[in-house]
Amino acid sequence: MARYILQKAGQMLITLLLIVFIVFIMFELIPGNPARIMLGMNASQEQITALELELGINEPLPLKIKNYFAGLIQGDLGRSIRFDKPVGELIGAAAPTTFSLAIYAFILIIVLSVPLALLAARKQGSFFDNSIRFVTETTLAIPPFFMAIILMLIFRTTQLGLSSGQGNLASPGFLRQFLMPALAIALSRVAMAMEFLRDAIIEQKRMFYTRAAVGKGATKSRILFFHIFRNSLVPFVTVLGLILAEVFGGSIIIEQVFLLPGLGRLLVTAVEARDFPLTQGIIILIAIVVIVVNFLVDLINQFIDPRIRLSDVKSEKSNLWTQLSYKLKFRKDIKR
Amino acid sequence: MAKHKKIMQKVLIILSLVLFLTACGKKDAEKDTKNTEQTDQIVSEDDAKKDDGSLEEQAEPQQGGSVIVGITQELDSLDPYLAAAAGTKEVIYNFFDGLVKLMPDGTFEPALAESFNFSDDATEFTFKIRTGVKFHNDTELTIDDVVYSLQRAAGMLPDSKAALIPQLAIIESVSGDAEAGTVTVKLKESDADFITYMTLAIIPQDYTEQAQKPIGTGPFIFTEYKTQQHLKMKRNADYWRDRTAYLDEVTFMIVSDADAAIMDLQEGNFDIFPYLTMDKAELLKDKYDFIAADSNMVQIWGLNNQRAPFDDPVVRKALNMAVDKQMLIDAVTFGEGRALESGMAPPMQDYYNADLASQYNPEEAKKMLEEAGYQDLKIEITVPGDYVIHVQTAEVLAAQLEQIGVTAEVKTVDWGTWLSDVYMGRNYDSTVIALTFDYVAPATVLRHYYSKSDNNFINFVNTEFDELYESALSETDHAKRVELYHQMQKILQDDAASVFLQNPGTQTAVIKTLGGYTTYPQYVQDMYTVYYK
Repeated sequence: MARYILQKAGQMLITLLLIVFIVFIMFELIPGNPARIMLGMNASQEQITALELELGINEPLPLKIKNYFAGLIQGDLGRSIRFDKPVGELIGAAAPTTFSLAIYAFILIIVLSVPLALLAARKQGSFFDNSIRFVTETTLAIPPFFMAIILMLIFRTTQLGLSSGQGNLASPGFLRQFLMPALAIALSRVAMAMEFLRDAIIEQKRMFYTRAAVGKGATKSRILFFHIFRNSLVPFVTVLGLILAEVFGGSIIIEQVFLLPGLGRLLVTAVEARDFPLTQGIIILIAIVVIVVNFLVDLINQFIDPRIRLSDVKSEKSNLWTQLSYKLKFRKDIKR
Repeated sequence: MAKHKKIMQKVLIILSLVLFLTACGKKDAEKDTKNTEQTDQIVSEDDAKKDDGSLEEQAEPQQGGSVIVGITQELDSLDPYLAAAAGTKEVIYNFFDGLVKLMPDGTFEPALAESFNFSDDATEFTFKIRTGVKFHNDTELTIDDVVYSLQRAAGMLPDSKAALIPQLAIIESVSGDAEAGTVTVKLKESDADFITYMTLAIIPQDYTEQAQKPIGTGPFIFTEYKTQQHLKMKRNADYWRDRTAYLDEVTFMIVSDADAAIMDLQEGNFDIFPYLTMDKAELLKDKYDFIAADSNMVQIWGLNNQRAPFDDPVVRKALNMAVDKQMLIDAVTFGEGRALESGMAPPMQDYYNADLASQYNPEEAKKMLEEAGYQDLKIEITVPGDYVIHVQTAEVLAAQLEQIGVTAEVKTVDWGTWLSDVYMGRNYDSTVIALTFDYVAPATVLRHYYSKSDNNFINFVNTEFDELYESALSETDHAKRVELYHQMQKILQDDAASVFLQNPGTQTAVIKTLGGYTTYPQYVQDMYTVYYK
C-alpha cells in the first residue's frame, strides 16, 4: 500500500510538472502582451515598458520558470496581473463556489442515475427501459451550456422562483439557488452514468453466481442489491471518476452562463488578460483535483472489489481495460 | 419502425425548441421605432438639465436609501493611478475628489482647490488648497498630500519608473507652500489642456493600501470588494461640500456581460445599469427610464496607411465614399450614434469640427477605383471579437463594400491578440476599433494620427498635420487652439486618413423611483447626485 501511494504521488508530481510547463509554453506562444492589455490603448510606451519590467515579461523563459518554481516551493503562487491581488487569495475566494457546484452536480448525477439504472435493468428492452434510455440519451445530446439556457428559460418563464446567485454549500438557500446550474451540468452525465450501470447490471445478471443465487432461493431484490449491484459498481465507480473530473470542466462553462463567481469565470478573465500567474494557479488546482479524484477511484474500487490489486498498478489498469473492452464487446453481443 | 419513431420524436423536440427560441428573439426586435422616440424625449430633458448647470434637480430628493448598480467588467486595481480599466475608473470615481471637478457641460469647477490660476504661457499653475477637508481615515488634507499625489501620478517619486498618468509626464516640478496654502505646478512645456488633468484623485500621503482599500476625500467611503461579485460603498457623513450624498449605500454588482444583465434588469435586481443597448429597452420600459448620453468613443475603420492598397489616397477616399454611416448606426447601435467625418467627436465641445460634410457617394467611389485600376479589390478587416459592436460594424462594412465591388473578409481575434498584432505590431490591413478619450483634451484623441506618436497605429503620415498638432499643444489662446484643431480634422478628412464612423451613444437604465442621475463628458458613474424621489 505504501509503495502504491508513493508511486501515485510520484505520478502526480510528474503530471503537475508537465502541466506547469505546458502552460508556460502556451503563454510563450499565444500573442498578447499583459502590460498592454492591463494599461489599455491610451497608455504611453514608457508606462508599458515600466510595467513589463515590473512583471518580468521579457525575461528569458528558463529564468521565468526558475522564478516561478522558487515561489511555488514556498507556497507563493504569485500576484495576479489583472486583479492586482495575490493569486492564492483570488483562488481561495472563487474555489468554494466551483467546488460546491461540482459536488452538488455530482450528487445529482448519482441520485438520478442509480435508481434509473436499477429500474431500466429490471427488464431489459421493456417499454420502461426504452423510454428512460430515450430521455437520457436526448439529454446527453444537449451540450451543458445549451441545457443551461433552456433551463433558464423554463424556470424564469414559469416563475418557479429559482434564480442563480452567489454562495456555496454552507450558505442558506444553496440547494435551491444552485439547482439550475447543477442540473445543467448533471443532466447530460446522468445518461452516461446510467448507461454504464445498467449495462453492468445486465451483464452481472447473466453470470453464473446470479443463477446460483436464484437457485438458492434468494429474493429478487436481495439478489439485485447484494449480489449484482455490488459487482456492477466497479465499472460504475470508474466512470463516475471520469465524470467527476468532467463535472469540474463543465462547471467552468456553466459559471459563465449563470454568472457564478467561481474558478471558471476567473480562468476566462485570466486568459483574456494573459494573466499568467493566475492562469497557472487555477490550472494547477484543477489538475490536482483531477489527479486526486483518480486516486480515490482506484482506492474505492479496491475496497469494493478486493480482486483488484493495488500494489500492482499496471495489472490493475489492464484489468480495468479488459473489463471495459469486454463489456463493449459484450454490449455488441446483447444488441445482436 | 420503432427506429423511425425515435427519429421523428427527436426531430419534433428540436423543432419545438427552435421555434421557442426564435419566438423569444422576435419579441426583442419588435417596436424598435418606439424606443428611439422615447429616448429622444429623454435626451431633450437631459439637455435642459445640463443647461441650468446645477447638480440638483427639480423633484425633491429624499435622504437615504441604497442602490445597486450593475457593471459588466471585472475591476482591476482600485488605486486611482493604477486603475486602467474604464470599468474601474467609473466606480472608484466616487471615493475621490480632484483639485477641480468636471461639470456636465464640460466646464471645470474648483473642488479641493478653492481657486486656481495659471501663467499666460500655460507652464505654471497655482492652486489654493481648501482647508478643513478630511480623508476617509479621518486625517486632514494637507498641502503635502496634494504634492505627494501629483508627484506620484507624474512618476516623480524616487522609486517610480514612469508616469502613472501619461499626460502628467509633462510636469517639471511640484512645490507646496504650507503658509500660503498653495501648490504650484511647473510644466516642462506649455500645455493648455493641463487643467483638465487636474480632476486627478487626491490621495493621502504614504498610504500603501490604495489598491485594496482606497481612501480619498470623496462623497462615498469604500467598505467591501469581493472579486467577481461586488464592490460596496457607504455615504461619507463628513463630506466637505455643503451637503453629503443622498444615498446611504451603493453596491456595484459585477455581471459578466450586458445580455446576462438584461434578465436581472427584468426582475428589477439592478437600480441602475449603464451599458444598455436600445434593442433591449422595450423589455424594460415599465420599470426603467433611459438616459442617453454621448460616449467618449470615436469609432473608426482604421486603414493601415503603409500597406497596399491603402497607401494610395485614392483607395482611402473611395472607401470613405462607399460607407453609408447612418445605415451603419441604425444597424449596429440602433440609431443611437452620431456619424463622424473626422477623428474628433461632439463631446469634445468646441474643438469638434461640425462643418465637415458627408462624402457618401458609392457610384463615384466605384468609378474612382476603376479609373485608378483597382479591379476586384480584396481586403481584410481584423476586429477584436470581444467587442460585438466592432464585429457587427465590420460585417455591415463588408456588405456595403460589396456594392462597389470590393470584397472584405472579416477576421476576428481576441482582445489581447488585437492589441499586440494590430495596435502594437501594426501588422494588419484594416480594423474597426473605438479610440477613447479619458479627458476632454483634444490632443488625447488626435495623437493617434501624429506620425511621431507610438499610438499612430494606422501609420498616417502628413507633415502639415504634424506641424498643426505641435503648435496646438503650445497654443494657449483658446480660439486659436480651436481653429488649429478644426484644421487638423479637415486634413484627416481630406487626406482620408481612415474611415471615421461614429460617436456611439450610451444608454443608462435608471429605475423610475430614482432621480438625479447625471452624465458627464468623462466616463463616470457619479452617485453623489442620485436620490430617491
